[in-house]
Parts: sequence; C-alpha cells; structure tokens
Amino acid sequence: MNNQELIDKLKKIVKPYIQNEEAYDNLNEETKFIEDLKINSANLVDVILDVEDEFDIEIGDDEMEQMMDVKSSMDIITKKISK
Amino acid sequence: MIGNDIVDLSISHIGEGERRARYLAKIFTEKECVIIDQLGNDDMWIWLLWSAKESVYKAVSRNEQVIRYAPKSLECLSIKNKSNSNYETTVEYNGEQFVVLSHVSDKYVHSVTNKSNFNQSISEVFTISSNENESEAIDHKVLMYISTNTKYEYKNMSIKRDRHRVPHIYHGDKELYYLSMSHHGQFGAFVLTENH
Repeated sequence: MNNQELIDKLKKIVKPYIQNEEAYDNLNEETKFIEDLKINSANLVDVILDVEDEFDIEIGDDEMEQMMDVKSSMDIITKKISK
Repeated sequence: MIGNDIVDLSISHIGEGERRARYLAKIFTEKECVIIDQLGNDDMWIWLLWSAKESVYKAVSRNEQVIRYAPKSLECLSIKNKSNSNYETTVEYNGEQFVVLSHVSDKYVHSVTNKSNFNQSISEVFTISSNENESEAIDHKVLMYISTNTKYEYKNMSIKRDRHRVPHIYHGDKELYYLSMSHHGQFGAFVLTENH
C-alpha cells in the first residue's frame, strides 16, 4: 500500500467523526485530528477502533497516545501491517 | 487549575457487544471498568467517568506543550452521589488527586474540577443552536455572564486563546479570570474562577 492509498483509507475512516469540512477537504499528512478536523476526543476512540478493524491490527495504549494526526497514524499503521 | 467537560448524550454512542468492550478497554483502566460494572454498566456512567477524566485532563494540560491521547493516564478512584443528579469523583493523574463535581441530566453530563476552591468558581451549561459558530457562541455566553453579574462591561472585555488554545478573559490588558470552556453537540459550558 502506498502513502496515498493509506491516506485515502484514513480519510474514509475519519469522515463520520469530523466537524470541520474545510480541513477535511484539505486533509494531508500534517492534519491533526482534534485541532484541525475537530474530532471529539470520545470519537477519537472510534477512529482507533475503525483503524484496527480496517487494517486488522491491534493498537496498544502507547501507540494510541501518538495517533493525534494523519502522519503519526500512517507511521503506526505501516509499522504494524509490515510485521 | 480548572477544567470542565460536557458530553451531549444524544450524540454519544459506544455501540454494543464486542465493540463496546473494546471501546471501554481503550479509555478505562481495569479498576474503572470494575466501578462501571458495579454501577450497572449504563452509558450514563461511562460518560460520567469519561467527562470527569476529561475535565482533569483539561486542567492539567493547560500548560503542557504536547497534547497526548492517553485516557488511561487518568484514573477515577471513586464516585459518590452527592445529591439527586450530582456526583463527586476523585481522579488521579501523575500521583495527584483531583476532586471533580459532575451534574447529570437526561440530555448531558457536565463535569468541573477546580484544584483551588470550588466555592470560588462559577459554571454554566447552555444550548448552542445549530446555525451558530460554537466558539463564538461560547465566548458570547461567557462575556454576557460576566457583564451581567459584575461591573465589567461587555464591550471592554475580550477572550484570547494562547498557543495551547487555552482561553483567557481580558478587560483591556488585565486578565480577569481563569477560564475553561467546552462544547459538544448542542451544548456549551464554561467554568471560571477569580485570578489569584
């Protein structure tokens, strides 16, 4: 999976939870989930669970802690699926 | 250190069965899951504990540079029913304990923590209509509240956010209060306390 495919998948996952359409339309590696997309912190758990389901991986507490933006999420997912 | 958090119950759903169990395991410690089980595992208790933790997170993260997402770094140690719909929770973060007061209605849960003194803080919950800009609507409510209840005039006050996105209320150049704001769905809320 290349980076663009990964971003596209993430973009689809976060869609139900975003509250800022403009930031969503411009979503890129630098986009932050809470600050930019205005995802509610309780919904960030939904994003994590949906990522687990989509990529068939398990995200630990230490990893969840870092998943505050698109870039760090991509890094964690890439690391997990390459194992 | 003050913090508050509001949960709009009408848009808060964590699903059922396996999804629910996975959700809870991501945000609550084993001890907290035991507390929730003992209380009957209703969604209301889940959001009560969650908002108590969030309010403490907001209080302690006011000066932190890095925002982390580690719900289990905060732990609810106990929960007491104070009166009707009011609860007192003790939350621990980094070895320090915080008392949180929560109010529960059939529509929302609102939690407030104030490390210094609850008697000196004021908090309000209000509804935000869907055509309003949430941030502007909350700023307006806070300034309206202060101008109605104190000598400060609305037009001379302003709310500015620092680089950690923490709001501060100014009257001219003078900072008036410590302030914490939150919004979720159709509800907005704030807590403010005198500047010491």
